[in-house]
Amino acid sequence: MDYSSGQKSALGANERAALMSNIKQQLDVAHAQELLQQVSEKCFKMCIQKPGSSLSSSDQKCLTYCMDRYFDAFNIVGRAYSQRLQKELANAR
Amino acid sequence: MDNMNNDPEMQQMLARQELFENMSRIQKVCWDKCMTEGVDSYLSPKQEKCLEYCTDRFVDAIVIGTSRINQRLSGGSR
Repeated sequence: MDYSSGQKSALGANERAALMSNIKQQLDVAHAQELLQQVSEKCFKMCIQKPGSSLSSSDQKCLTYCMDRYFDAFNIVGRAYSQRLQKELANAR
Repeated sequence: MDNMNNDPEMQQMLARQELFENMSRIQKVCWDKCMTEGVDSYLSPKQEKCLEYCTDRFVDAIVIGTSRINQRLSGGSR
């Protein structure tokens, strides 16, 4: 182990970049997992009224539509939220 | 260890996380409010508008809630 290089706890530039990239990746994965949980719950509630012994084709269609529409909705909410944030920031000046 | 509070890249990561959490929260509430008539192969204009308005009104609620709480904390409650 090399103790002669000064602060052994400081990260080199490459290590830093790798760490940041790693953190970003983990955040993305965590976000995707969170979204999946949300979608599953919301779409189950919407599409499966009475759980049967198998998934009917209409329930399956509903679930497919629901998941696609959930992501459409997420985009709309994201856009509206960003616009609103920018407006608030502009007002705060 | 580098001081994370002064680190702009770390701040950016934290901001990303906070943004996602806020959007998630709004998405959950506004989906329930706006998708009461079910789903189809596309979002109707009515549903799209509802989601936009809902997001704006939710932020209003946060802004008002924050200012009321601040008033109480600074002893200015009625």
